[in-house]
Amino acid sequence: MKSSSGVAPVGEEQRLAAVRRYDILDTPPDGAFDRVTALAARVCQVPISTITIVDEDRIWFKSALGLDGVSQIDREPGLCASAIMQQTPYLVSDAAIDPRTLDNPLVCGELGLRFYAAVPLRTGDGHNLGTLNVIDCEPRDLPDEQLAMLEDLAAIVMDELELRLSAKRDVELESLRAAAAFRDTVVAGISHEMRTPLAVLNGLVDLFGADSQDGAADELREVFRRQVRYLNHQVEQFLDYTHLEHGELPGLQIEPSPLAPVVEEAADLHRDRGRVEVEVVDDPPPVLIDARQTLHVLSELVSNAVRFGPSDEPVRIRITGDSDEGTVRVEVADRGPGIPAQALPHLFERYYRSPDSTGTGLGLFVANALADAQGARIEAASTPGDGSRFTLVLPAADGDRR
Amino acid sequence: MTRRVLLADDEAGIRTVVGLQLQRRGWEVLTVSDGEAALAAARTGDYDVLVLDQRMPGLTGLEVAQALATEVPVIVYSAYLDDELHRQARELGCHTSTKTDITALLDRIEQLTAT
Repeated sequence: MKSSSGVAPVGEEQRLAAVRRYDILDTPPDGAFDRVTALAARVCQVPISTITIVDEDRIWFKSALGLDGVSQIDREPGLCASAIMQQTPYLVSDAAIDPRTLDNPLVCGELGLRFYAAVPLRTGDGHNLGTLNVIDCEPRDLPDEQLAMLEDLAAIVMDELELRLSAKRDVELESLRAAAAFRDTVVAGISHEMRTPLAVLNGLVDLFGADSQDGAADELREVFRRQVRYLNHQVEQFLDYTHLEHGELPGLQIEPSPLAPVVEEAADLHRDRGRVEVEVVDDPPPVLIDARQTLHVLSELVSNAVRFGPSDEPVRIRITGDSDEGTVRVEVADRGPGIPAQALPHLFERYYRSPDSTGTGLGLFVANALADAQGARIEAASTPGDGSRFTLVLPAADGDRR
Repeated sequence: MTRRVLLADDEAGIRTVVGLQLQRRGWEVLTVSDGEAALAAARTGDYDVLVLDQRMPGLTGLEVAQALATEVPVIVYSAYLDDELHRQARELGCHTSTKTDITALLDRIEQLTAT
């Protein structure tokens, strides 16, 4: 099988991905591999033995016994590039008369290669990374017993590569785990440290409010109150994130609750950042929710709408009952650029972010998980150029009340 | 008749804010800043409710409640409410509340002492 230059053989992309995965290319010489080539050369009684990895455009030598100073050659004349195309050993007894090789520069050139035997280095998932081969400048045959030993040695090379890969993965996983644990500790630590002072500030604002006769002071107090509540809310959300990221749901207290105050609160949290209008249609029934977590979900939707919507158009929230379905719907609509159709199915995936977003990729994932835990759901719709609409659909406390 | 509450918290901010809010609601408030003082005050005075922070120097809120074994309603509150704390409180016949929402704490106090 001969591949004309420039045309990648079938499956080559996946094979190269496998090569990258083992992360072996351009690593320093290594005694373990040099011992294998020394053994292969001795067993087959040849002067040259190499362990090669076939890269996109080169053949790189992990070990090259008898080829002093050679660390790689171009892929094109290399016999290994042909050898990895088949699943069985590749044998050339006399390259000078073999039609596959007789015009190969390695054969007719300075090296004068005549005998070449290669066993592919095959991964568990069937990709040939390269070869273990033996080479001589005299024609010769390879007895079955030597071939069998060469195959065993190739298997040892592969075992060695697998071992290194898994050791490397263990180290990477361990450091990822350590980083995640550190981050969680920091987030939880900071959040916890902030909770009590925030609760005190919250309580202080209420005390200031009680008997003021001063309109300006009232307005300042309102700003203060909203900012403190917002900060408080953000801290609680951070804590929820760390829990939900580990798949732990917060303990829910689901009870019949009027929805409008929760929606008002969610809107209010973001009113220092944009206009938010709430419309309640036809006095919808109470809903079965955990009020705190529903606030979290709605706040996420309102936050996104405020962030992505234009500043001169308010975010519109609409609460409507759906007595047929026994639900109450909260629509949060903005007039922003909208969401591309191909992104819509992925919005609620963990760590999914729109390309121009600066978010964590957790917001909607967490909101959706919290909605789901309460038997609610979030629907997303968007017309590119004309904004997005997220609808939280909540179970009515009493389906046949209306 | 004036209602009396014992409030124990090692954080002055919480003592001030919760104390003032309770006074506005017509309560007579005694505040202390650690578990030992809470125990001593509870043993020598009459209160309609004991409101104890769980995390305090000396004794925790639950340890104070356990040592007292009182008929008076006890609310143990914490910024770190979890199932374990709920369970321990239930075993001692105590009520729980959160420290991170003072309005909720105040409501809980009113609710438990409503006659």
